[in-house]
Amino acid sequence: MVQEATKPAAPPNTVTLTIDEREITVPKGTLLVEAAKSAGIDIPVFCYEPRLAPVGACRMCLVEIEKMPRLQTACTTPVADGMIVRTNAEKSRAAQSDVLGMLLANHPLDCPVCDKGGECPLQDTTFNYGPGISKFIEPKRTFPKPIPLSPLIALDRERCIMCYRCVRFQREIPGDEALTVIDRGSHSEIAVTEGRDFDSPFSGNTIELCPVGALTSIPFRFRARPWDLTKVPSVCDKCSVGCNLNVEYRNNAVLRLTAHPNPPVDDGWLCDHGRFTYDYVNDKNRIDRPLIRRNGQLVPATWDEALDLAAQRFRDTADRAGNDAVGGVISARATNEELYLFGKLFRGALGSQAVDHYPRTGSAIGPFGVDALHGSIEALERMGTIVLLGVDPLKEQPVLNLRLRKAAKNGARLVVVSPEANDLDPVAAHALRVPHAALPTLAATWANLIVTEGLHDAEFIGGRTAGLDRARATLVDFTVERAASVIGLSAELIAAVGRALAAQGPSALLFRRELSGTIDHAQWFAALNDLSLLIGATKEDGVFGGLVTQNNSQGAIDLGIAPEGDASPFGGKAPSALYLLGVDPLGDGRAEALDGVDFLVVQELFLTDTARRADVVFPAVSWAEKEGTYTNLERRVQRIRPAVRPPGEARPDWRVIRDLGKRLAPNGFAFTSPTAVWQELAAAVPAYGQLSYGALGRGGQQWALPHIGDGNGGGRFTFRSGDLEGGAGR
Amino acid sequence: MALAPETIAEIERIRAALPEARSALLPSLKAAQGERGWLPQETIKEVAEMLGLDPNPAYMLATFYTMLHTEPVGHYVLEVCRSLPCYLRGSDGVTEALRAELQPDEHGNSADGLFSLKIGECLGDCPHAPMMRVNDDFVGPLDAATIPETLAILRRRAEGGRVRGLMADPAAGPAPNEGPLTFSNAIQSLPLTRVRD
Repeated sequence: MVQEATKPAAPPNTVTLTIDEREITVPKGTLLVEAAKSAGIDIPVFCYEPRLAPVGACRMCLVEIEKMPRLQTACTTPVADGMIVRTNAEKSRAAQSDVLGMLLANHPLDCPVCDKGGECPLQDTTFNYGPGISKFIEPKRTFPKPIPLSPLIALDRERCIMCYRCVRFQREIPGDEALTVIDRGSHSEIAVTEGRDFDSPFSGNTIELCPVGALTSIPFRFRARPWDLTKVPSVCDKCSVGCNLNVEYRNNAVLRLTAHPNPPVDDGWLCDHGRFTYDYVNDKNRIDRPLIRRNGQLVPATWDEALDLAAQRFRDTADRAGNDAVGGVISARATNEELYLFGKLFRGALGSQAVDHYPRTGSAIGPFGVDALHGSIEALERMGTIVLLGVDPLKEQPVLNLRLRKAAKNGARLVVVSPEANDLDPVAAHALRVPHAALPTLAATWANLIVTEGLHDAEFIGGRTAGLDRARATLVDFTVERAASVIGLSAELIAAVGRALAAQGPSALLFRRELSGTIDHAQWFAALNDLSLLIGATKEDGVFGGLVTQNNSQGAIDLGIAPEGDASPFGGKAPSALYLLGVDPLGDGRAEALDGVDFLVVQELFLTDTARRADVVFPAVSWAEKEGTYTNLERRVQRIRPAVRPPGEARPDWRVIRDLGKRLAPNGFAFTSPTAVWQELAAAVPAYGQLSYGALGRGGQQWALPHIGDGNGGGRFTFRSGDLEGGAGR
Repeated sequence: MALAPETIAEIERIRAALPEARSALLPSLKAAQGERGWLPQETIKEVAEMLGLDPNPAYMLATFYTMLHTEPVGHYVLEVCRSLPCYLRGSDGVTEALRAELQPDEHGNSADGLFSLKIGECLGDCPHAPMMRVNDDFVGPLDAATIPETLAILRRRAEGGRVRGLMADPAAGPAPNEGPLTFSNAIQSLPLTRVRD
């Protein structure tokens, strides 16, 4: 029965306090500003940013706390039980107004020509909390108007209110100290060392972090007012992380890209490559109509002429030289819908197995029986140990690098193994220089060490895996002494790091799929498979996978857009007729891929070297102009949306593939939209069938890894190296 | 403009004595400043690189601390405190008197290259307000009326031939090492002036 009247005790590790007469219960350690926010109470801030450590520099968030003699900064004060806080009483209001008056003392009134105007926290906060009329009659301090800190970012020192968000971001998140503050007190300025640029690969984030118009984007300056821009949420296509962004456009021109935070993926950050690479969308030199070769020259043609010609020649070639004589290669940056249609065009309509994606991702089947990452990007934050074998995410997955730094800050021990200096070395517990060729040996040696010394989780290995004994027999040769002589590191160091990997706690193993040199990749993956089981990276709380590089490499793997056997149009037997979508072998130094091709169809944004050689050129559309889905490196499927219209007569790529399909097959290509393609795709690929299309447009959804029982090994993870002849990594 | 071998040795000694490279930055910059009295950008970078640090935080430190100079300075760096206690005791008058005597250029340097006038924040010597720092010594309480005498004593001392002068020209090379200048001896006779031990 319900007992009368005593208030239910607050759950442990929570604190109950009163803000503006409202009782609020929040976790212990919550900062006042966050506690207020959780109750919908707005405390004005400038320097406070939840993703950065609080500093209390700007004094904007002063609040009155009972029994405390002075006003306190809400951004640095943790909540306490029974605290009574007033954010909107007379004292706090007066302080807020005074602080704003001081912040504005030297702030220029150039809002009408300031890029930040219209989306400026200083403007908004002044409107809500400010004095309206300045108490100061002194002339404002002036500086020469904006100085470029880099080709991308300009600094206007007059507007700066010294919140240090930018400097703190660079120091705390990428950890590169690319920005600093010089002088002191009221003379302080944001600066870089003379003769040096603000050269961080993440510099653009400071534009959005800046609460005033002090840091502005040079490519965007004076191009548009924020309220004139239309924002379309989409997904970056520059790497496999799949950061979310807004495509902001006006008059059908993309004018800037801004973060559209999807915390599990990107924490709200973008790298500069993703943020600033958009000019090509607006480029006047884009191909804007189909071209066909007549008398040796590429000349404009109608869509019907170009499609008819391509379809006819594909059919003729297949009839004359066999189905596999018609090949196709599609960019790993294409959408899932385009990949699916492309695959259907070749395998279904033409009966050809010569279909591939580029750059090709080598297969890396994990212990789950599928080629995909176990765990998630976000889970990396909770790791005890993270092992990176041969990967340097700063170069290939920049925003993932930020997550790994965050993990290190949270206490994860990073073990960085790479052939050359790695950006993560300074935050790593161990940074080892090991050439690619020695990585399989190292992985096998660590696996052997852990199992020999019994450092693994016996319960997990005993209950959930099979084949350890066979694996041990092949691993036994991999002693630390032998590894030391192969790798050139001391046996003590190799052993010490190996033992550190076995420490308890969630662990992650991220590796490079394709090692350079003559490596037996089957042995490499077998060694990784076994090491991942022994360090627990395949447990529910672990992360294990080979990092893919392109925005939709994972989609190409999932949809099977790769040939069987040696039918690859690249590297294998050259087809007589070749369809390239977003692929430029001549530009990539792979001219041999076109040897023996006598009918070439190229779909491209620009007239590339390869397109110039084509017999039919279709205009392609950019990612900012199309609809579809991408699958990122953690198998999260996310939706992209069209923002601007493609130039001239260009049509969405999926339509072009569909129209070729209609010409080559009696049925099966009656799609009316990318969504219709998705529906067929989802029915054909079970993992994708479980996804909700609606969720794909709201932060995306990871497709579920099959239950272990569905993989090989009879419900258990299987040790692999025992299956190899002669053992792993020899 | 590479660092002198003695400076490099000194920085290595400082680095070895401290657990964190960052902690060694401030004393190392001070040591490097000993070479020519100020720190050119190149020198700041060189010190940071020696310690394996990014030059940006070194630049921050060099500009934050008023004992470090990122522009050429005179033999005597006068830093007048402008914070409240000194201000209430007349620091603005002292500053005006120094300006009138020294006629400093836009960088605060006197034409003879002997003095650099800086305005600083509280140096923690409020009992002797208004006060200033002369190189490594605190001087106060000061009186605007006797500033010409104070400067005259400093000039006389400089004329003794033991002065480096304005080191704007790096080509002139480092100053001869004459051992530390113990300013306090020189101004024992200064009227109304107390020298902190």
